[in-house]
Amino acid sequence: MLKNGVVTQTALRVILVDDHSGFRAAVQSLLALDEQFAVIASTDSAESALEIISRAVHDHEAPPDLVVMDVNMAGMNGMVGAARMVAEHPGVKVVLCSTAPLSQLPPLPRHDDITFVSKDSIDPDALREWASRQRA
Amino acid sequence: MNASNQRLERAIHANLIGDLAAQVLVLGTWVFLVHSRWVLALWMVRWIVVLGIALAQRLIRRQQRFRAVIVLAGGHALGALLTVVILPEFVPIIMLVMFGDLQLAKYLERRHLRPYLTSFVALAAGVAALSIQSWTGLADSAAQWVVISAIVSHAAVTGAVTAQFGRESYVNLRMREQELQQLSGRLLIAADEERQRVANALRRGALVDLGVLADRLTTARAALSGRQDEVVAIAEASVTEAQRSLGTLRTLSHGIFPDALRSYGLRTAITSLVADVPSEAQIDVPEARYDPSVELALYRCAALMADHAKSSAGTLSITATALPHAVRMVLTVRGGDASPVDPAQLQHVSDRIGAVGGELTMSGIGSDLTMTVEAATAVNAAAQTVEAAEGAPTPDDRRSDHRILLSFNKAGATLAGAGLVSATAVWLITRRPSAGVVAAVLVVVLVAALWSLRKVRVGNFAAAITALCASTAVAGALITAALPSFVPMTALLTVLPMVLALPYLAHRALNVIGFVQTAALAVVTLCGLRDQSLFDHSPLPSSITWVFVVLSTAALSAVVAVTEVETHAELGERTAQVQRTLRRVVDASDSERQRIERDLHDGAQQHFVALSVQFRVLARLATTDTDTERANSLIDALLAEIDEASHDLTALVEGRFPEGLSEGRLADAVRRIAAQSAMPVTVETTGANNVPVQLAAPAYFCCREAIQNASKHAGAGAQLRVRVDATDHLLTFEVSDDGVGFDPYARSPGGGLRSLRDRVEAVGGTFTVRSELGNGTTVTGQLPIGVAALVG
Repeated sequence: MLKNGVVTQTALRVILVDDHSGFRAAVQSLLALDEQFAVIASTDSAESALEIISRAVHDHEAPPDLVVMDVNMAGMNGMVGAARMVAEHPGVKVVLCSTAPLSQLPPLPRHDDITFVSKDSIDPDALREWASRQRA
Repeated sequence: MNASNQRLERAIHANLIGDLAAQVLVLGTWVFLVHSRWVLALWMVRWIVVLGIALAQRLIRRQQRFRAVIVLAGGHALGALLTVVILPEFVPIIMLVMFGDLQLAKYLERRHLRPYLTSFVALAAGVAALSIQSWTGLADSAAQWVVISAIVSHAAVTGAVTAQFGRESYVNLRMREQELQQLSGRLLIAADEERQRVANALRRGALVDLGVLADRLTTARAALSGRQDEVVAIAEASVTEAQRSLGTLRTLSHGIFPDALRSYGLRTAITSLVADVPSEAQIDVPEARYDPSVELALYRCAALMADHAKSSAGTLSITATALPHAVRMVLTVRGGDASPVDPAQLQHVSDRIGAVGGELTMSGIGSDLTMTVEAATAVNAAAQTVEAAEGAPTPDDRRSDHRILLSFNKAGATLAGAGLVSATAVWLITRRPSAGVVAAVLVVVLVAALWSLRKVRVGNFAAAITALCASTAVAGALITAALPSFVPMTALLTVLPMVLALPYLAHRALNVIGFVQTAALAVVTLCGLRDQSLFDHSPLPSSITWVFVVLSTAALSAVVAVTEVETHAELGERTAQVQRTLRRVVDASDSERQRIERDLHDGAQQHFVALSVQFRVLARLATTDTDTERANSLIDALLAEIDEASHDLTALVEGRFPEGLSEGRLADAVRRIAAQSAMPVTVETTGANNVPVQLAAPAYFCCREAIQNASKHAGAGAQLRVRVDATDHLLTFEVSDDGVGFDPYARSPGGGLRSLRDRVEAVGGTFTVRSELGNGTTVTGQLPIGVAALVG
């Protein structure tokens, strides 16, 4: 979290979104090794992720810092979901991921708070670094 | 210009050249050989016809097809009427030319067909009426030998040309039908080969990789207590291994059906395709989605041109436009090194475009190469509507051919009967031997028509047509000999065999008929030139002659016209049906590709992704945590994941291409399905464990579908019997149950059965489903061994 440009020691609150539960479970156990991550929710659609965030905001709870979301899902796809998340909830950052390389995907939404990572090379250190980087 | 207009233009062009050459010949004859007014008159009248053809040529070049046809036929008609007034001896040739014009009907729209055919009949009757009387007596001024040789040679040439013209147009249609059939055979066999290739790749690749990972985990578990470094090394190596497997799997599934195409459509897929083309590419493709087979066919075109741009260092531009019921894509490579596109690959994409009812054209100017593709996007829905309308299965595809021959035979018998009654009446009243001869001939024709009718009913088309050919040739010659004024009708009668035989006979038989018919026509023409009957010294009263010549010509020309048009429509329909089958074949195989790709994407690929992440977790755990309990449970989770992945993959592979099938072990594979069936199954096989692989796959899937259907529908207590036998020449299978059965005419075969039938037929086999309410269902197939290799 950024507070006056200083990284605090509180853990990054993460939501995992993918319709493949195996991937969610694997990422959850990967992030569980690292105390700087706290997975607060895990869900199978962008719609339900948006709902979780809205409910948190409504209940005056802290929104997630980071959403790790699959690009290609049934219903709302990850790109649309990501664009809505960053638009509706400033401060939320989205990492889109896919088994396909970026070149084989439709153009991602252009936004500083949205990035892409290939599913098989997802790495907690890189995630943290990107999520905590100082905004220009 | 579309293909049909191009064909018409070629035909008109050939016609013009031929007629101009004939004009030179006739003029030459007049100048150098016989200075007869008759020849000169012929030469002048012919210019009307030539003028008509020249005008038609201009019109068709401007794409005005309807006008071109009308002007062409109109020129012929005007020429015909003038010729018959000036030179009535030419009437058989005129009938032939008009018969040729009848073939133009296929270039007309449906609504113009009836007026066109009516004019044909009216013109035939008019020409016949005018031909009875000599109006000018010009022929008398020429030497007999000149008239005879001119007319007979003219008749022979026109007859041969007409026969050739007719044959060609049908042969083209039949060739197209055969081409489409071969194409669908090739596509089905290619799909089976691909299935086999994918199954083998998965068995030797991903499944083996999973085994290796499981072994590593066992080693890692043993090393957990104390040798942490080893665990870390194993886990890190496994991450790389899982990532490598994932990459291989992605390449494999990309080849089956590009993931980007399935998930996001043409625009994204084509954009990703050109991502690795070095020079700047311009892509303008709409977001729209189409049928998988259309998308895949268009994508393959784009892939081919992208490869070409890469290898020739050109700039690629791809523009797609959505039309009301089609999509047009223009692909251009500019400034390349002008190397040609690989013809085999071009053939492949062109096949695919053809299979979805589209057209592909290539054009090159200098170093620029342009591919234009147009594919219908609504064909599929239309085809399905037609299929649905067809309703119950038609066991005999030749039934409709049968229908045309039957109705022709009936009309022929009726005409012969009416002619017989009239001729007998005339004979009874006038007692002229010529009327008696005609009556006798018509008895023969009637008997032949009835005999032929019986032959058609039992399906012996060759015998039926031979009888008709022989009887019309003999009748034509004898009737003309008896009554020369009837030559317009008898000339038509003589060309009949060709109209009839075209759809049923092989090319060589058609040539024989063409030859016989031309010879018969020469005889008929000669007889028609006589002023007097061969059997009679005084002519029939002119009013009787007049009425009967006009009536018989009109009736016969009507039968000829209807038969000709129906036959052509029938052939067209057969081609359209093959095209629909082809589309079905492609749709089925592309949807299956898509399913395999999706199964791999959602199944195996996700497992490998999860594995690569979990192995990373293991590596971290082993580095940081000395507590082996967490690592142990993680290893359990990893083993469970591997287990699940292997299970999914095996199911996928076994379902698409079971073990042993690529070695031809059909009997073993069928026994495995039987063993899994819920109902009692007895399996008997002989020699079915060494079957050619391209037969083993269709036979296997038929048996599997039949067994699964029986389990679902045969009802409780039903018994199932499966037989698979292979000899050196034939593979047969039979799946029969004694269950409740179904009424085959109440229910059309489902998509599953239909695509199985397509697959069996693609390798030259037959597939039948027999069922009766209460008496079980039997599915049988026969696949010739040794022929399959030829189809491929």
